[in-house]
Amino acid sequence: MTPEDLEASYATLRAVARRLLAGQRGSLEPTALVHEAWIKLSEAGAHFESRTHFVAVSVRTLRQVLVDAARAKHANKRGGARERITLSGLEATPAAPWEVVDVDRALSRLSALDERRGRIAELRVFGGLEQEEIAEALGVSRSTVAREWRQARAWLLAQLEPT
Amino acid sequence: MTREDRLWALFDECLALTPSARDQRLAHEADRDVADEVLRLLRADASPAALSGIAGQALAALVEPPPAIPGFTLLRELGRGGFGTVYLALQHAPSRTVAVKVLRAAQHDASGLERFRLEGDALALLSHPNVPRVFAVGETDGRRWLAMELVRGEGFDVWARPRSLAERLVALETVARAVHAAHLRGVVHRDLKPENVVVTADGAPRVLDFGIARPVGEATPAAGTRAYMSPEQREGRPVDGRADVFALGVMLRELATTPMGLPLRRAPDARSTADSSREGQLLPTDVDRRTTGARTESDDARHADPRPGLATPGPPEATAPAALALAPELASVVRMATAPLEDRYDSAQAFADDLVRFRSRDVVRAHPSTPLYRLRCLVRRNGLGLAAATLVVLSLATAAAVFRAQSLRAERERARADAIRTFLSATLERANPLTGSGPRVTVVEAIDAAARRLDDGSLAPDVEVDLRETLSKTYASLGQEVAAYQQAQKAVALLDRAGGSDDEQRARLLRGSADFGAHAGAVTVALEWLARADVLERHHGRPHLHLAQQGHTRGEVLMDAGRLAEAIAAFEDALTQLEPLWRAGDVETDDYTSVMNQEAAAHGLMGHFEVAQGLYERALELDTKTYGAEHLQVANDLHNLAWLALRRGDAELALERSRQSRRLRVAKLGARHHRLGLLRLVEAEALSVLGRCDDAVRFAREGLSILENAVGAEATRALRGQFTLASVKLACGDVDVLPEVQRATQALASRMGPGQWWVLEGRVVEAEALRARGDLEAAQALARSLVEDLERQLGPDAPLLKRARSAAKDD
Repeated sequence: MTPEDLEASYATLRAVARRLLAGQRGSLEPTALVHEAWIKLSEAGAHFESRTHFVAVSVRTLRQVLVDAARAKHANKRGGARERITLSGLEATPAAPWEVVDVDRALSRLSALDERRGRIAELRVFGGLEQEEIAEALGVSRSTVAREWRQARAWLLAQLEPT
Repeated sequence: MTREDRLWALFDECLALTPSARDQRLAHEADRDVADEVLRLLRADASPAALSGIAGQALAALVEPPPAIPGFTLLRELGRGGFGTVYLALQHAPSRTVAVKVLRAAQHDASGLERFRLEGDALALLSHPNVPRVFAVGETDGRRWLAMELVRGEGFDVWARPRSLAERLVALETVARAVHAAHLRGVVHRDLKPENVVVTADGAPRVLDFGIARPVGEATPAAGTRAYMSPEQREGRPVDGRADVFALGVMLRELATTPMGLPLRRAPDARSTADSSREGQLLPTDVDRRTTGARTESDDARHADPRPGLATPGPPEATAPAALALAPELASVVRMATAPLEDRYDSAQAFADDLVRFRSRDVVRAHPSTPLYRLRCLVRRNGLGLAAATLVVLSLATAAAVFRAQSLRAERERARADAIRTFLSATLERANPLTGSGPRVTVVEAIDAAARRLDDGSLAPDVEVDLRETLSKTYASLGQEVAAYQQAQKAVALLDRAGGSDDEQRARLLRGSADFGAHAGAVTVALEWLARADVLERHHGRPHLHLAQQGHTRGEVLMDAGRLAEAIAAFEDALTQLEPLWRAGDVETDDYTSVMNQEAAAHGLMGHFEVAQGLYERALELDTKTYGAEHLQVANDLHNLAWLALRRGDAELALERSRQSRRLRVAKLGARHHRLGLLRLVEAEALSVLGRCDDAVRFAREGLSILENAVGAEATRALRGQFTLASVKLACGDVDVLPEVQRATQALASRMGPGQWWVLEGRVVEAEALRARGDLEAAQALARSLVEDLERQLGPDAPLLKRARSAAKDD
């Protein structure tokens, strides 16, 4: 990776993370997490073909960091100490009754089944990209993204919420 | 075309169609597998769930820094939820570990702040051992926070899993009392559920999350968890403490129908709960909780990876464990807790009291199959409103119906239940205050009216037997044992006339009513009934619970009648029946140890201290092993040991044991329970032996007053309590006790006959009082007249006999 690549990937990671946080409460700084993702990305020695490829790789890396961190947190909660601490007000936000690791798992299954729909969903869910940006990043038409995102979304929800 | 391509294509095709056209299209699809999956996709497509927010939420959870709060060091995040984040924190002064709940920045809208303020207010107002304390509330850098006691323990649902029903009920009762304390301060919890109750290592439940608590009577949008939510709260109407009673009822149903070792059977949606309870369906239908939208940490623990439901979605019923049948007594409690508002328990306290009654088995032991506890909770000394009386009487009908369902074919049962219901409704009409004697109908009046109408003899014999059995138990639970006995007698006579159609019912009636007979003075009849029941049950040919119950009752009847040696033989017999059943796990340990304790008491009264000690200690050992050291049954055992220590002259040990027992009981029963009154009397006697007279007399008075409040001043236990108070006063130099003792003795004598040993106990105290007053001759004459009877009833070594002898001796 060239120094320019590194710099550009850092900027991209930061932008993606900020965008994800934009919908969240308060003003949060994702710095430490972006650093972690950046280190991971540079160690992988990825080769970037274009700016749009930057975005795709950054989203993939952030996804990994996010899911790993969520898993680690989960493992802490369950493992080891016999004592459990329960506190008030811990009910999950009603908007998302499942967790990021569940979504990650379902998404991996979708990708195994159908690579492009998997990538569209990844960019949408873990990168917060708009359909136009996804179309640009993947080099497909916007109407294709719109159609396939709807299919992917239904597929993921069906996996997450067996009814 | 791959399968996936066909899938997407069919999905797209269907999206363009109207719903009915979709169904038609899918019905004609040759590949059923693809058609099914498209159906699932279409359903998911219609879901409003947002997938895209999830990554942002997870990211926020990872990067949000703990705020700096003066006076606290925030150590690490413990968890987060809709309201904010909870941190483990160190408070600087006083130095202690606390939990700090910080409201989310974006929650600082009016409703978030309001909720938060109320949680602080509600908790700060409440100083209760079963509710976490609030240490401080504040705002730093625009973020609201709340520092509260850190509660370490297990979620109630997790805790309950390996626990017996008895332990679960004791814990739920504590929860109900804590909630009641909040109600008294005008705060309704509104979101009671197992996840909001944590049981700490010492076994004490704590009620958490007053997060949406609001002052009584205020309407709010329907916040809370649906499955536990009362209809009025769902509909956004003003709520009061009864909304929490509803949630307690749902929890009780869950706790009582889940077998030990299995995850709690979660309540179905509360709407169906209310409906099903109206229709008398007592068991919940198992519904996967995910569908209710409630989800918590403990859910996650239960649904630990891998989640089979994700890969192969199937009906949750397929894996649902079998439910336990709800005991009829508990079914009544659940029904009344989840009833429409006007019929519901009027307080969490009343709910808790009913659980105590179920647990303490004051009545259960005598008649184990009839659910009358609900009735007792409604009984007030001064009568009830018509609505309450109606409820009571109709509950009797239901009780009878539920009971009948266990032994008779459904159709016949329904016909009987209808006949009973019609009869009772007509009875109530007659007892209507508009046409009747006064503005309020007491339960006794309603029952009396029912009894009079039965004497008309217009009903089918089997219905009449049912009703008389029910009335008999109702009278007994109201303390009217003579009337109870009369009804039982008529029922037995009727059954005998009708011929040998239903031996099971006959045996139950004989077994369950024998001790009313004994308490009504008809000891011979009681023993005869038990003997007949023995014959009817003999066909079991091996140890059987009914035979054990009969032995137990026989022992109690004999013991009260002063035939202690025979009583001991009967208890021995019951223990022999129970032992193999207990070993096989067919009866609860406390069923077994209670008989042991009764036998020990008989030995103690006879002065066989070593035997008594051995039995009491064995019971304590078994109960501790089964229920843990904090259990109420253990408190009973310690009480017994205190009583025995006193009889053996070791007042110090008696005090020590009493204190241990008191500590366990106060936490679980509250200080006004009749058993705490009895315990106070033991302590009073011990203190008088130790010469601590001020405390002794004060304790004796307190004990008696608790007893009188709890069971009524004329109950035998309260009358005998008078003797203890008098003895304590005498030991402390207050010789002016004769009038009270004589009054109590006469009351007992009119009930039990003049020669019964309780009466003789009173006469011994009278003799002691005469002697203390200096009336030596009268004392000696009285005491000498008692010796022979006492020796015959209690044996030559009885402590009471020794007291009579020393009152009779020359100076």
